[in-house]
Amino acid sequence: MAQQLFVLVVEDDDLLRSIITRNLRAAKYMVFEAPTFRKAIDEMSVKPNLMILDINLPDATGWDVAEWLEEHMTGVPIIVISGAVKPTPAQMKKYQANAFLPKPFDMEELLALIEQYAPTITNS
Amino acid sequence: MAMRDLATLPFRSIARPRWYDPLGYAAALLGVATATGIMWLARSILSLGSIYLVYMVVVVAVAVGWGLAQSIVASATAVLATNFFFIQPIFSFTVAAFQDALALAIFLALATLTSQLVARLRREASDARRGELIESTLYVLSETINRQHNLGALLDEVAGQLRLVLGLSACDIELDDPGGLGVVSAHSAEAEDVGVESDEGQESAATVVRVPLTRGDRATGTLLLTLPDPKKRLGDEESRLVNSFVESLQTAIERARLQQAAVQTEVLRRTDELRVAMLSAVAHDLRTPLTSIKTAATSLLNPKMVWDDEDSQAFLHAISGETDHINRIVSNLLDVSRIEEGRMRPEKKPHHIGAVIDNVLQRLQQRLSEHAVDTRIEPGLPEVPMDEVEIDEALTNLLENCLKYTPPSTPIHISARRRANMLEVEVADEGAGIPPAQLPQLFDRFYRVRADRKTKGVHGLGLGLSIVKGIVEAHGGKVSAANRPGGGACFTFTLPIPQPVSSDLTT
Repeated sequence: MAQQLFVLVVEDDDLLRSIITRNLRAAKYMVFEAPTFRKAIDEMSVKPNLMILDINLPDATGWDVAEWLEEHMTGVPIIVISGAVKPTPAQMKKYQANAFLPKPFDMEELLALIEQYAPTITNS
Repeated sequence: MAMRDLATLPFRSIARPRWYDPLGYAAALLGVATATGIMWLARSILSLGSIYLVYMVVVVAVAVGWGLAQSIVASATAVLATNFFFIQPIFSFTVAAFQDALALAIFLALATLTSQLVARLRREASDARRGELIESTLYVLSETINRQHNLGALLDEVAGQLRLVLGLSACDIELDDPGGLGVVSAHSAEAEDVGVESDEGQESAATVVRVPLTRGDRATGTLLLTLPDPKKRLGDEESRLVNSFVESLQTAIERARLQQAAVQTEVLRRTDELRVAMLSAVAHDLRTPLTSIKTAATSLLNPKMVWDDEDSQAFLHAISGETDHINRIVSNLLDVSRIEEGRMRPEKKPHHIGAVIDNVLQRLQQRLSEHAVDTRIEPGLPEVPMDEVEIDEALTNLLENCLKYTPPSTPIHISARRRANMLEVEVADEGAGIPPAQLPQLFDRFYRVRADRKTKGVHGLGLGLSIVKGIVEAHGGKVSAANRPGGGACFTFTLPIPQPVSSDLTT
């Protein structure tokens, strides 16, 4: 891989975030982590190539992150992960989320989704 | 106890004259005797005419005070006394002169006539008073019914009013339970009537009148009037009064029942809401650790990945730790149901609290690693009877609570000391503390301190502290929560220290 892809993981559960991060690093992605909305905005000083987004955050909802992202940069694919709320198709469309993965999910599935959406960025 | 229907209800009366009142006869005799004594001493200066007048005053006074029967007795006694003491020959009931006999007869006739007049006036006045009393009673009753919305309290008040107004020795209202609202009853009795049931003489003197309460043609309850004396009868006003009472009572009962039914429906609805909320909270709480287990396991299972030892260990630790997490959720739920059903029965054996605290700290070592834990156990604490597993559970819940609500790297303080006959265990943190308004509900089931947007996200069912309370109370102790003066929350529970039995009691 000529250039490492930058993936931002926004998830408040420390353990789950660390598991996802370990997988992404092993798959040669560059990973930044954010447990909160505030931290997510900090991490987006560099535009991520893809974002994994939990809907339930302690200081906001994942949709707030998506909204902020939409206002500040374009073309970042979003994979939504959530255990409690299943997003409506309208929400997915509004925030330009590419995929939804309900918790608990198979790690292989998440990696497959990342692979599916990440190249569209590198090609453009 | 004899039963009667309403029409024959004897009535102790609202100050109605009572012909059998023994006090009245005693007063009549005493009045005549006193007047006779005084006049005997002053007989040298009194004419027979004055003597008749003095007796007339006594007769009228008795008529005013008690009634016709008593005043007739007073008249007859006065005639006999005049004849015996003041008419020649004295100390004999013979009358020598014809005009003396005539005077006596005229006095008797006049006294009887006056008695009748006075008694009638008296009765009319008392009837008017009773009419007023009945009216004001009905007013008070309707006011009570309008004001009092609690059925039990309403019945108590009404029973009390009815007893006072009718001069009953007891008044009971018993409601049947057609709508599943629970049988409600009220009892009002004279204080001195407490021993009635055990005293056969008194018991046989009392009569209970049963008045059915109905709704449409269905019986809804019974009004029981216990009368102190079975000989008297109910007057028209009293009958009407009881009927009005019963009518108003039926309306009030109906209204209260409808209200109570509405309240119960609301309670059921809220219970259902709570159940739904609990189920969704449980689902969310279980899904978080399940997600970590699933992702860690599928990471290890992914054939495309090659993991080094450190990663593999991390995944396996995650799986193991989150399995414990789920297990804690499940045991908390089981504890809640045990507490709820009153099945929390601690198997108490003497344990040293220090050892239990050490065990908990050791088990939570990894999760507490970011906090400095400061433990202070007062030296020389006795062993205290406790269910080690349950107290361990209570301490674990308190510490997990600290972990949930305090930022990493803040210290946690655990202390145990003796306070009189109690062992006091305290778990304190240096977090944000508890909003004072929320302190009272803290130990309620499903209660969680409302998360501040700035603090870290708090998940959980809000069961932990309610479990601590259930466990500690099952041990005979108490729980409390407060804010530390320097900031942070402080939870305390106590366990009773058994007192040594003093030697002079053990024989």
